[in-house]
Amino acid sequence: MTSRERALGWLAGLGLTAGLVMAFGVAPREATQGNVQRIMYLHVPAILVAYLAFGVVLVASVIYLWGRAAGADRLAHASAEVGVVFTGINIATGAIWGKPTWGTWWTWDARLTSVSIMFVIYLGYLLLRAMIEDRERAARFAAVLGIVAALDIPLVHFSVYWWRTLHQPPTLLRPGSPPMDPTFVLALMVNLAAFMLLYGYFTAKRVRLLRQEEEVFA
Amino acid sequence: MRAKFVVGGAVIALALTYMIYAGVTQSAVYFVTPAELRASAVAGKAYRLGGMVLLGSLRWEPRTLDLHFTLGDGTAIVPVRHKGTPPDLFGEGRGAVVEGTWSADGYFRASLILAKHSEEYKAPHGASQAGYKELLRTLKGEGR
Amino acid sequence: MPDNWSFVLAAYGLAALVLGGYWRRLLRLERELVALERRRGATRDEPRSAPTSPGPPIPRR
Repeated sequence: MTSRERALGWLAGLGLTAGLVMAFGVAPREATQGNVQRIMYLHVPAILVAYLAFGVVLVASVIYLWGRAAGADRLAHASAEVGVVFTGINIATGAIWGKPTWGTWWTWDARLTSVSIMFVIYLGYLLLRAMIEDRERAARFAAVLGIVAALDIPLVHFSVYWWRTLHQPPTLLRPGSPPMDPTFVLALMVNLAAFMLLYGYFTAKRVRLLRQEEEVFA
Repeated sequence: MRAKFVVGGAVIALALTYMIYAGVTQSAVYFVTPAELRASAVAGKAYRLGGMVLLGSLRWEPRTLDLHFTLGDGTAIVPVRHKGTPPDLFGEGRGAVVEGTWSADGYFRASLILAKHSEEYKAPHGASQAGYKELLRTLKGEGR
Repeated sequence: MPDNWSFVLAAYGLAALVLGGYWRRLLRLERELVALERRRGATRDEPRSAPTSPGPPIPRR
């Protein structure tokens, strides 16, 4: 384990602890929803980090196709894997929140549909990588898919504007100041920072393991 | 090993196909507004109807679980009847989406009540007005 | 407004399980790779021609 990895891991651990303190100790009980709103501190950072992860897949895929740098391919692979984990958390926590507040675990509105399509596309991306045995070919195909799949990111984010949905519009990622009490915003930001650190830790570790794997099986 | 990938690929392809199908048939027009329903209501046909629960229209009988309310969108109103317990966020002056059928007797028979939430979050005792207009705007699906 | 604490706990519990599960998966992979590298290294060093063999040793992490 490299020292940078170790430092990221500890920072992520500290961030997650601070995030829990913010979510349960500092942020007040929301007036309309009650305490169930605290699920938001997982749900929102998870999807924002997933956007980040799949954005990294996009950039790394372009770089790979440009110069065939093996490092860019490994970064795309690792980032997609971690992005799938965070998308899964977003969908699961959303369903758990939706049951008591909306009255359903699931409904086929544009936001829920597009985010689940995104989840399955990147699962397919990982499957494609595992399927093709030739390393070079796998990397090339994956890079193309990694670029095409990124089209779904704006679709997910803007779905609540482009179509009628049950899901509410974004609170954080929108023009103007968030329509929420500053303490909520602070709690969200701390959790977002923690999730980003965790993303960095997971991705750095995964990239290194992928490189080692290639060296061992070379 | 090959077989595993084929099965995995098939599962993913099927899931994607189904989701895109659901997206085209359901998400594209997730709900109709009261005005749209009034304009072309077919008795017995299934709809998803979205609107605001009008103030003073809500009646709930906890013993029989009879729930009556009116959904409006500023232009038209539709009376809704349902049997069951509404979700936590459901209430007067808030958005709701209901699934059910249009009855020939002039009301909407809902089999499922969904509460629509706004993107606003308030601390308790915070002097803040209910974002009625904001909610109505998000309900209509208008961009900013 | 009911608080639905059970739902809050379920959400946080599930997230912890998923993140912890992925972390454990990475750690397991790391252990396996280290073991594999060591085994490879051992077989590669098998024909000990000389204790001070020419050339640099294979770099280990």
